[in-house]
Amino acid sequence: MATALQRLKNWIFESRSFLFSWYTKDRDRLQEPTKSLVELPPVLRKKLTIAAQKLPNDPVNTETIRSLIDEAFEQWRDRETHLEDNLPKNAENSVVIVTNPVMVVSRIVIEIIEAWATQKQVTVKILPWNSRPADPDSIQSKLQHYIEQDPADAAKKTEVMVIPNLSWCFLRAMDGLDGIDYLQKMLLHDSSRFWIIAAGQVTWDYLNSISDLEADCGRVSSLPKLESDSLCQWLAPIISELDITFADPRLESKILDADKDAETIYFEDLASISQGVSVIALHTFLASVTYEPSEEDEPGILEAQNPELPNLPELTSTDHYLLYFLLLHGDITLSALAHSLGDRESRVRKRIKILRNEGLVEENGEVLKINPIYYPKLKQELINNNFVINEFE
Amino acid sequence: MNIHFQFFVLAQSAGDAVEKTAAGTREILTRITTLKVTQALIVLLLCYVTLKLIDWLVELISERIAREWRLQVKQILPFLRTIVLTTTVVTLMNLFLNLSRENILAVTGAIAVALGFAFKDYASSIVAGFIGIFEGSYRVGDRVKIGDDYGEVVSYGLRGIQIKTPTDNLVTVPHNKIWTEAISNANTGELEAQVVTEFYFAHEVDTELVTKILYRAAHTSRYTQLELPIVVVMAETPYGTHFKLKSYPLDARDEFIYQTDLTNKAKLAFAKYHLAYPRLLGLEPEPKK
Repeated sequence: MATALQRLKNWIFESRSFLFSWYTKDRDRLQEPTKSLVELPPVLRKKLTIAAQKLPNDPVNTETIRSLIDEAFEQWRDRETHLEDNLPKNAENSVVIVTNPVMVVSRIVIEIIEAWATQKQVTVKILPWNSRPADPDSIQSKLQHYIEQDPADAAKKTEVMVIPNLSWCFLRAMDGLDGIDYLQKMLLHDSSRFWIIAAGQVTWDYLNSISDLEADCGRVSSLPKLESDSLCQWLAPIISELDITFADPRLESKILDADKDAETIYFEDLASISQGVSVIALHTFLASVTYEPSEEDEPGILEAQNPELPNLPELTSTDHYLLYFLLLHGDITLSALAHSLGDRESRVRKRIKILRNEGLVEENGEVLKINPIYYPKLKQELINNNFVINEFE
Repeated sequence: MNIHFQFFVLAQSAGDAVEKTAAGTREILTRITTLKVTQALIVLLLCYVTLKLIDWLVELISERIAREWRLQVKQILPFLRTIVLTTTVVTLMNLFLNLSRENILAVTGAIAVALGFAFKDYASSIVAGFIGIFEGSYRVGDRVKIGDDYGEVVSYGLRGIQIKTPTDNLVTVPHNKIWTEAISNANTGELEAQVVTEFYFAHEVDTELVTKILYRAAHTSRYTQLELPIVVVMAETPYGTHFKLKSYPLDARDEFIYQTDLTNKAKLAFAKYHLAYPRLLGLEPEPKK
């Protein structure tokens, strides 16, 4: 009975954005301000931000990526050995790690690869880009130049090529897909290299639908959803460093989970609404922290309220296209976004300014991306408007 | 005397017939009182207000909810209108007519004859509209071509539908067209409708390159529904090679802007590769190589 109730609770929690997608929205009603770190005293805000930045990559995803790479590589290396013995080829020369569109794993992949290369005694070439080339027409030539240059250590035969973020290798524009054509050709014909590729789910689905990329790749795997225990362990350093307590859970949680403490219920709710994605969980956790000032001279306390995702602002049809393209490209400059949409830069800038003020889009330098905390609701909104976004499995 | 008697008999029988008809009419019609007339006017007013309210509400909801539900909501409109109109007619008949079984037959027959002569086309349109609801030849939100008129069905009335054309004109088409005209429906209740974008080239054009460009235009346009098939077909004509790019936008409403986007993207690429367009009478200069 308790399990059934728990399932019902989870289902309502996960489906509420869909269940309420039918209601009409009042365009004139102002969006409720999103709870954010701005409400905290500046010193605490800074401490919390630094603690979040210091947080290591979440161990579950790191370990999953490591084992995926290891397993696929060993299979490929076995095949190489078997080839010499005239044994059948049964393993492909690449592994693709598909992640949630707002989760960038390039940092995790690079960290893993550095130690892994030494352990496996292989030459590793990591595509040294940290953004998309400004001129989409040059993507292919730049890729070609890097991939086809002679290996630094020619003595070692086995070479591993790493593309930490596939979305930097293309732009959805007439002149922006030659890089993918080139990579596809290399994956198909160059069996002397092993390829490690990381891509967001939306990027991967798009490239698959236009060029059947998956057919030329070996193993394609996605990351598991993080459970409440894993999230609790991962965020523990911040909680202990800043002495964060947990507010009383909601009434329904108190009734359904009477035997659990506030912290356990909090992390179960957090895992559920963040869909088990670490970056969404972290942003939701930070947004749920509030400050309770003390009555006397003692310092106040930081308390994590029940985790909640902010509501989406009212979005127009133009916004839907724009936000979908942001998800597709992961991070992108304004000029590249306008070029990809086939729209005037001033028009795109105007919409981006509004969406940035609403908190939906983050701007870091010249690079734009979706605020991860909005992703679950944005995904549902786009699905409801006929955009194709597959479930993150 | 005899003649006078015959006239008297004839006059008497005519008088009897008139009296019988009057009695029959009196039997069917109840007494018309000021109260009943007032009630009827209130019913008509309520009917009008309800219809306007339904139109407004359905339009408001369908345009503000998620796009995938838009057409489903719009398609409720004819049903709701039919319910309101039927209820109004039955209420009015109850007010003014004695609706026994015989009377209903008599009234229906009389109305049928009257309408048959006086409002043949109007009656035909109403019947066709009623049948059209169930047959689904067109529904609100569909993109249809009837005769020379093409556009989105924005209203489904008692007598006909209203189509909003690409030039923003509102064309009223009577329902009885479904008896005689071919109705071409592009999306039949779906959100997507196929868009065919046509291109013409000289015979010597590199067809493989053109095909690749056209596919890429469809793959990169923001409006394209990538889950539906994209096809390029071509045919040889006396003046050149004719290409058709067949694809679907995410929303059928974006049909023309989508076509423009595809044409724009493709033409930029054609210019980059100096692809040759058809040359009439061989007078135009050869394209640059």
